[in-house]
Amino acid sequence: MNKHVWLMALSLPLAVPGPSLAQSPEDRGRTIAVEADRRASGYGDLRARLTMVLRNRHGEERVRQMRIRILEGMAGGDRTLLVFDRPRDLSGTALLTHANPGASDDQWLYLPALKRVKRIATSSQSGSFMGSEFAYEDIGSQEVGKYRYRFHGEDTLDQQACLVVERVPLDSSSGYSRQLVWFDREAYRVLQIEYYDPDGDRLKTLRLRGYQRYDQHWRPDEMEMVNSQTGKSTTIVWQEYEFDSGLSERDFDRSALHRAR
Amino acid sequence: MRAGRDRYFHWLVRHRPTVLIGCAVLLTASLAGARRVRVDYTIEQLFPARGQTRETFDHYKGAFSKEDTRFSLVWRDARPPGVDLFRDLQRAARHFEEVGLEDVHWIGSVTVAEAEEVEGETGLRVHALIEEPRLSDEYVRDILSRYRDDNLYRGYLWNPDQTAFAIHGYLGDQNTDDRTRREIEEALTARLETLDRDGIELALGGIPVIRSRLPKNLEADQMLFLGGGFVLFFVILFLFFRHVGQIALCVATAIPAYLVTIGFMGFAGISITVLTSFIPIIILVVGVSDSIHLLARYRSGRRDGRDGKDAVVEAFTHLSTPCLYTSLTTAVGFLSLVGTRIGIVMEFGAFTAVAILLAFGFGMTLLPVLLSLCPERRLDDRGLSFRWLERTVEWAVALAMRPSRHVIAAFSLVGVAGLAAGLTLRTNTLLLDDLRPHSGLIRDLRWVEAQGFGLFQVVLYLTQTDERELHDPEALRWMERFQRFAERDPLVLGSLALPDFVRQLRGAAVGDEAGGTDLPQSTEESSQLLFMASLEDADFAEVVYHQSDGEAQIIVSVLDKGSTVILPFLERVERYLAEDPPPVGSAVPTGTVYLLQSYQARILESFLPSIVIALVLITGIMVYMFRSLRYGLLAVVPNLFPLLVLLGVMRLCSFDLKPSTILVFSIAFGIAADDTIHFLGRFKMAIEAGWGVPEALVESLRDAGPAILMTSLVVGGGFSLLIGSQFEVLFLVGLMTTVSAVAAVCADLFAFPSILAFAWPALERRRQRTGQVQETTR
Repeated sequence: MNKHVWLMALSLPLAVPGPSLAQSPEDRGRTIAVEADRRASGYGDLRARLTMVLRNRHGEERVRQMRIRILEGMAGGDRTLLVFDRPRDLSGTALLTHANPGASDDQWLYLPALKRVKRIATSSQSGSFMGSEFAYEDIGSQEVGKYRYRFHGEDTLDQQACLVVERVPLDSSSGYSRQLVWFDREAYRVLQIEYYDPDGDRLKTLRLRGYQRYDQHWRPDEMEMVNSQTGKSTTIVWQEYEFDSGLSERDFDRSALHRAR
Repeated sequence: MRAGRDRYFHWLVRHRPTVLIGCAVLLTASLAGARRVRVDYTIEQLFPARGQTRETFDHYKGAFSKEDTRFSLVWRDARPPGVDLFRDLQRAARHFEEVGLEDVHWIGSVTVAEAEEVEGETGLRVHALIEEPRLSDEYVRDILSRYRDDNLYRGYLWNPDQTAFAIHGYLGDQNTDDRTRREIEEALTARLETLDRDGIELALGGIPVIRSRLPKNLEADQMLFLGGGFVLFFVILFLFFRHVGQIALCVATAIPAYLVTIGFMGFAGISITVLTSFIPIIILVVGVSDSIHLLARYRSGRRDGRDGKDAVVEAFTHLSTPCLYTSLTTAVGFLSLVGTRIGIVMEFGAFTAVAILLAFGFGMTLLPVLLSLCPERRLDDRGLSFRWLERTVEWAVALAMRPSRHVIAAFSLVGVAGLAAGLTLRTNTLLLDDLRPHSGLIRDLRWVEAQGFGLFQVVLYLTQTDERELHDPEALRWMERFQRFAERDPLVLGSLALPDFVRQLRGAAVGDEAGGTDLPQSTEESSQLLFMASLEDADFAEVVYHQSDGEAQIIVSVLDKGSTVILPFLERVERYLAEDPPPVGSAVPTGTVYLLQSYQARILESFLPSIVIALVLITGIMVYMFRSLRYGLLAVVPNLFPLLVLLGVMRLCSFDLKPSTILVFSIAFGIAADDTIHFLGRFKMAIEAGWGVPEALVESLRDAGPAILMTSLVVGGGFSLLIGSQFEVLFLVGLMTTVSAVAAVCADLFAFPSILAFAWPALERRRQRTGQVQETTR
């Protein structure tokens, strides 16, 4: 099951037993990740509005607004459609992603100014998404099999007991040497991720705040990525969540890009 | 005053252990500070420390920090481009990565955006310009031919005729300290040597290479001077003193003075720079000069039958005031450099002045104590009665006894000729001004330029000021207009800006349709194209555009043709910006080249004021020293002569006025004043003792003449070693200080006595007349 980082925040309110203390750190780390992934599954599809606020090193802000639709994949991975509303000059630009487990994603981009759909041949994983502090790999599919895990320890974050898991990307094109993920003990929601650059230095930190339960799904209202090396930050605010809204494969094929705006 | 000095020196020789312990404590404390001193040869220290230009540059560096971190290898190959060349460049590129350089750019890694069919659909692919899986001779040639004149690659990856290719690698953010840069440069140079063979020529260039190799060359030169200089000093001084212990005493003031200065710098957190690294040389020369006068007087006392301690007290009591003033005038000469208000020059001026005063301090405390410890045996006087010394002094004496207006006329003529020549001197500074043309580094860098690759960049830094972004089509068209304007200049090798990237991108998105390679028609189109590129390659166009920060740059590669060409070009750029400002955001010229030129222009502007300040201050000190305006003004006359001679020599040798030559004037002036002070000090004492002018002149020449000649020989001989330096500035310091030492000794021994002989009686008569008038009035 593929998950985006925001989907990893989803969890089911099932009381599952915690990982066994007798496990090795590697097994225990993986067990936690699998459990978090399991809890994040089963939402079917969702729609939401995103407001992305980019702060540069001078403290100036730029705002991006987009709509997102996600169809949970059954076998072939998730389908995601992002439609941009702001900035105005990107309005109507739509990015369709078909995640392929074990292979690179397929992507199409609709350019309204040229009225063309372009197939994106090879996506840059470590590159910045829309000039933000989020890289494509941060927001792309985060399936369990993409990482090697190791239980790192327990911690308290914002007065919540957490399990901290280290995960190392298996893809050599990743921009990170490792990541530390804080899951809350109660519902295995992701509260924080620290990203480390190839030299092993901390690069940025993602904080997920304002979790709310929508039906059976936990969702954060805000995700803030702070780059500790440049001082830049990006905040994504989630609004108007809609689950199981009746999206189908047809809404995520190539021709849907023209209709997206 | 004299009695006080006498008592002080008597106290010193009676309390030798106290003085020695005090000096030892001071030196130990200084060593602690000296250990903290860092060596810093960064280019930024040459820039103005403050001001709008510097602020703009700092902003620019915050946005585009890579400008100064690029290592470039230029590879000229006799073979036609093909697979073999690709493989060789690939090996070299791997070496770049192995030594820790990042973002290695070469024909096999730099990207191109192209339309491509992906599973039956029209797609866009950003990929390596030459892709390894498709490698063949025809493919390589086809790609090179297709992109031959593309602004993105020509002048960056290959030269216009594609006979030379380049590989570039950048220092990571954590690797920009001097030590790491040097380690990377050395490792890369060693690896690249394994690739060198017949049929190819290689040269490594780039600002980090210059930064790494300059200090090594500088260290080699300093070793040459400190090693060779000591040997030369030893030989000259031995001929004079015939006493190894006293030769050692000559440098006894210089070494502790330097240590304490370095200690000060360490505690103050100030680094050793290219300029302050000259301090040991200057201190050695200045310290030795005063020591020679003091030891010569001491030896003279011993010869007259005084015992060791008495001779020490007599010599130091007698010469402490002239030594104080020689040190003060030299220190003031250097201190005048503070007027340039350029950090590195100010530090150099201030700390050299401190070191000179410290040398005087040690000369008046440590030196008499050490000298009084010398054995009481009889000294060998052969050296002091050196035949050529005596003959030269007697020649000067003969001239002083029969003063001739012809001599004054001849010196005046030389001075006027020097001044006339100096007025025609050209002001010109090259960006690679530090090194002499024959040095290996400069040969390599000039070769790289000759192949058609620009080592230096003038940058136009653009910032977004309102909602309109810098990829607005109007802004893109303006950037392109500016590029065309810049590229028309013969100084410019090429330029790179956002339109070059956007054109390629649009071509890839629209394909071969009409207008496919035009610039976008709307902001929407630009934005969407850039967003599309970011999906493929997040760094696409990043070298010239940071969209999220609203910052862009136009990189203009220029040849190092000197400030006479670059400064007018920069003025044309500024005029262009005033007449045709960007329609979106703001644009200002900046970058290392721009800042270096600003710095050099400022030094040149401050040249005359700093020389005038030095002249006024030194004249003031001399007036105070002699308590006489006449003496003070007269003392300036022989000191101007070496400066005028320097101007003439510079014109004869076709040297241009530049920061390095200007520094020499201050050094030369400070050093030249010393001889005059010693000579005039003796003359004043003789006049005050009731001697007539001719007798006073003879006595002064015989007393101070040998030491003046010896100090000039030591100064000229020591500095002449620097003529062999690879550094332009050291070469000029060596040559011009030698010239000025010779000119100063000629002026002091041969012209000045004649001037005094003619001027003094007239001045005396005027003084007496004034005195009589005042008496009558009263």
